[in-house]
Amino acid sequence: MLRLHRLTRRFSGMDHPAVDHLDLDIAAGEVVALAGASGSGKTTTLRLIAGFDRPDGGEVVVEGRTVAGDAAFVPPERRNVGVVFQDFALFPHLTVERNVAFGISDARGREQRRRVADLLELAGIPELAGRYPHEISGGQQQRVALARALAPRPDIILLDEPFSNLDHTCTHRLLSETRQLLKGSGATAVVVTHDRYEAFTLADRIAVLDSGRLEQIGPAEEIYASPATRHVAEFAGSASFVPVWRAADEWTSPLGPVPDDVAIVPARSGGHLAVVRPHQVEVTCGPCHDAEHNARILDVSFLGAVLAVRAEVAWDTGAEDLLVHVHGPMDGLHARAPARVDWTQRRTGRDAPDEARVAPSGVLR
Amino acid sequence: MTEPASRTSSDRSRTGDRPYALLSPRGRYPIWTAAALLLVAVVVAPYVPLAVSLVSGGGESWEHLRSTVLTRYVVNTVVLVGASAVLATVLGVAGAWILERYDLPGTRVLELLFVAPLAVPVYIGTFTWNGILAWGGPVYRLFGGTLPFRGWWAAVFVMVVGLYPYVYLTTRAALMSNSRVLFEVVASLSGAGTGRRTAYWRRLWSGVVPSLRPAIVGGASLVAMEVMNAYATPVYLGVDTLSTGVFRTWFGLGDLDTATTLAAIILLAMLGLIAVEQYGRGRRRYTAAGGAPARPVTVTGVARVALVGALILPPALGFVLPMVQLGWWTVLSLEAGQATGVLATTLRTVLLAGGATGTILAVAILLNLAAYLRPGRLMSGALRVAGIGYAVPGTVVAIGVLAVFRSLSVIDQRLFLFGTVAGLLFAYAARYLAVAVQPIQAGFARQHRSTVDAARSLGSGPWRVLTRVVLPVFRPTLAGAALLVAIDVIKDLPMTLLLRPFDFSTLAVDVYRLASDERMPEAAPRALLLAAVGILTIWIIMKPAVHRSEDA
Repeated sequence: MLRLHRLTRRFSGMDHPAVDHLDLDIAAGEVVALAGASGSGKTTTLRLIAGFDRPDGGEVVVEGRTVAGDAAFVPPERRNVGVVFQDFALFPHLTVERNVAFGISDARGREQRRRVADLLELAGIPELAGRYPHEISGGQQQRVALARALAPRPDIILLDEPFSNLDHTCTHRLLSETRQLLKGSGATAVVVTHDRYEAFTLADRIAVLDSGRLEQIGPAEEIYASPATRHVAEFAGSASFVPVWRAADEWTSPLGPVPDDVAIVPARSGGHLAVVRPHQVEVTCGPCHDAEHNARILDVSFLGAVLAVRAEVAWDTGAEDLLVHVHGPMDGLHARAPARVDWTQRRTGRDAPDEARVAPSGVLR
Repeated sequence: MTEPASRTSSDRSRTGDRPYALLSPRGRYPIWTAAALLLVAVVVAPYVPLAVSLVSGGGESWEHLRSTVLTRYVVNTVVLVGASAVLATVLGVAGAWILERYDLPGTRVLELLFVAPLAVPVYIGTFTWNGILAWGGPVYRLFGGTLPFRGWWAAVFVMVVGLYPYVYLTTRAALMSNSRVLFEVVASLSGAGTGRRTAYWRRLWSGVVPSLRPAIVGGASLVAMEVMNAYATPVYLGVDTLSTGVFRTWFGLGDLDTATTLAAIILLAMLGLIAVEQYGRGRRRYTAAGGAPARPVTVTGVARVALVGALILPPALGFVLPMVQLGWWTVLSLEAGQATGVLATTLRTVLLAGGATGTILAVAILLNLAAYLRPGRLMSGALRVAGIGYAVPGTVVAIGVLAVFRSLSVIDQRLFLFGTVAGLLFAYAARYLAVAVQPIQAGFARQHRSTVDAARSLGSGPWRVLTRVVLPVFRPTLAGAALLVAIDVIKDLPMTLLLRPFDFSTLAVDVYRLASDERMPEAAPRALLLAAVGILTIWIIMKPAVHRSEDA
C-alpha cells in the first residue's frame, strides 16, 4: 500500500542525511509507528510521505503510484493523505465544524454536514461543533484535528507526535480511542512518536529509526523481546546491559548462563551484550553475608507496584549498573547494602504493561 | 562528502533547505520574486532622480539659491527640528515618568488625554492657535491684546504641543516593561546616599537613563521626522525651511532640477537622522528587565494638584483649546451657512483614500507573499527598502515623483502623470507603503507553517490556501493596516497639494487653502473632520491588539 524505497533527504549543515536510504513497506489498513529520538529523521520521513518536502533520492510509492521520486512529484493536495500535526494546526478563523468540513468542501451540502456530524460523533465531541479552536482544550483540539484529517477518507493518515502537546494524564483514553478511530477508518496510518507507550498502544508494527536509518521494524512484542540493537532495546523498555560471551555453545555472563528469553545485541565496541529487563533479574539476598554477595545497592525507588533497585554488579573484569524490579517489600534493601543479583528463577511472565510507563527510561543512562 | 552515486540529488538539496512552502517544496519562485523586486523598484524610483541630482548638481537657479537663501533654510530647519525634538522629549519623558510613577486621580482619562494631541494634524494646530491669539480672537477679547503668532518660536510651540506624545508613548512603553527594576534602583540610590543629591542625580543619569535611551531616542526621532515633513506650518508661520524651499523652488521658480537637489539634501539629512536613531538604540530594543510594573507612589496635597496640572497643561495646549476654537468656528460657519461643499470634499477624500489604500494594500500583500514564498536576505531587504518612504518628507517624495514623471515623458508625453489621480496614487504608495507592509509582515511571521501544510493535505491548491486560510487568518491585521493607510492618506497635505489634479481638493487641501486666506470658520468643519479621523487613529493604536489567530 505505502512503500518507501531508499528514501533519502539531506539538509545542509548535518553530517549525515536526515533520512538515509529508508526502506519501508506498509500494508493497507496497518498502523505503523515511526519511533526514535528527536533528530532520528522520523518527522522528515512523515513530511516526505505527505509531500510537504521533496526527497533527494529514493521514492514514495502509494498503491503502485510513485508520488515522489526522481521523475515524479505529486503535490500534497493530490495525494489523499490526511495529516494530524503536533500543534494540531487547526484553522483559527473557522469553527470546529468548518475545520472538519474544510477538506470535503466539494461534497454536496447535506452530505457534507452529515459526514462532519458523524465524525464529531465518532471523535466524541459533537457538542463542540460551533466553537472556535481557541475556545477548546488541547485534548479536544487533538480530536478535531483527527476528525478533520479523516473527513476526506484519506488512503493514508499521518500523525506527527499527536500527543506530545497534551497532558499525560489524559492520553491513555485518547490513545485507545485514537487507535479505534484509525482502525475504524480503514486508512493506512503512520504515527511519528518518541514515546514507547504511544507506539506500543497505537501501532501494529513499530519502526525504530536512528540517524535516519531503519534499525528494526516489527510488532511491539518483537521489538521488546528481541531487539536488534541496543538502541532499539532501550527504546522498547528499561534495560540494563551486561557483557556476554560464548562458552560451549551457550551465552554466559557474570551472572551465569544467560536464560533463553534474554535478548543478545551486538556491543558497539565489538562483542555482545545481554539486554537485561528489570524483571529478568532478581535480588536473591540483601543484605547478604560477605561470601554470597556479588553486588552493591546504589539506590532504591518506590514505584508503586514494584521497587526499582539499582545495583552495581561487579565481576572479575568490570562492573555494571543493573536495574532490578523487586515485587513486594524487602527489608534491608538500602543504599550501600551488599546484595546478590541473579537471573530470575521462576518465570512469572512479563511485567505489568505499566512497566514501560513507570520506569523512567533515563535511569540507566 | 557524499558518495558519487547521489551527487545530483545532493546538489539539488543545496537550492534550499526550506522544508515547507506554499506552492511547491524548495521552489525559488523566480516570477514572484521578480514581480516583487520590480514593485520595490517602482516604489523607490522617486529617489533615483534625487541621487542623480546630487552628482549632476542643481538647475539654473541653484547658484542663486545657494548664495542667498540656502543657509537660512538649513539653519531654520536645524533649529526647528532640534528645538522641537528637545522640548517634546522633555514633555514626553516627564509625562511618562509622572504617569508611571504616581498614583493620581483619573489616571485612565489622563493617559488618554495626554496622547490626544496626536489627533490634531500640526497644520490644523497652527491655524487654530493663530486664530486664538489673533485680533478678535478669545485672547484679544479676554485681555485686550494680541500676540502675533509668527516666526520660529510659534512653529516650535505648535510642533512641541502637537508631537510630544510620540516621545511619551515610546518612553512609557519602555517604563512599563521595566519600571519596577528602575524604580527600585532609584529608591536604593536615594536611600543609600547621605543626602548627597549630586551623587543621586549622577547615578540616576548614568544608571537609569541609559536603559530608557533607546525608547527616548526613538520617540524623539519620530518627532524630528514629523517636523522635517511639516510643510504647511512653516509656510504659514513664515519660517523658510528646506521642506518649504523645495516647494517654492518648484512652484515659484519652476526649477525642478534645483528643487530635486534640495530634496536630495533633505533625504541625506533624513538618512543621517535614521543613522543617529539606530546608533542611539545601540543593540538594545525596547524590551528590558521585564517583570511587573512598579506600584505607583501616592502623593497628596499641593504636589498632587501640581502633578495633575502638569499632566493637563500639554494636552490642553495641543488638543483641548484648539478643539474648542474649532468647535466655535464651526458653529459660526454653520450659522452663516458656509459649510457648503464639505460633504462633496469629504466624499472625494474618502474615495481617494479608498483607492490609495486598495493599491497600497495589494502591493504590500504581494511583496509579503513573495517574501513568504522565498525567505531570505534578498526579500527581507527588499521589504525594508520598500518601506523607507515613510521616513522621507512628503515634499521630497513629491519632487522625486515629479522628476520621475518628467523623465518618463521623454519617452511618451502621456506618461507625464503630474496632476492626475494616478500620479497621486503613485506618490501615496511610495510614501505610505511601510504602514501596510509592516503589520502584514508581522502577520505572516505569526502564521503557523503547519496551518498551510494542513490545508494542502486537505486537498487545497495554493490559491485556495491563500484565499481560504492565509489571508483570512490575519484579516484583523489587514483591516488595521488598511485603516492606518487610509488615515495617513486623508491627512496628507504636501504631496496632495503638489501633485493633485487641477481644482481637485481634499479635506486637508481645503483646510490649508481656506486657512491661508484667513477664512478660519470655513476651514473649521473640515479640520474637525480631520481631527475626528485622528482620534480614530489613536483609538486603533491605543487599543490592545487582540487577534483571535494568536490564541490557537
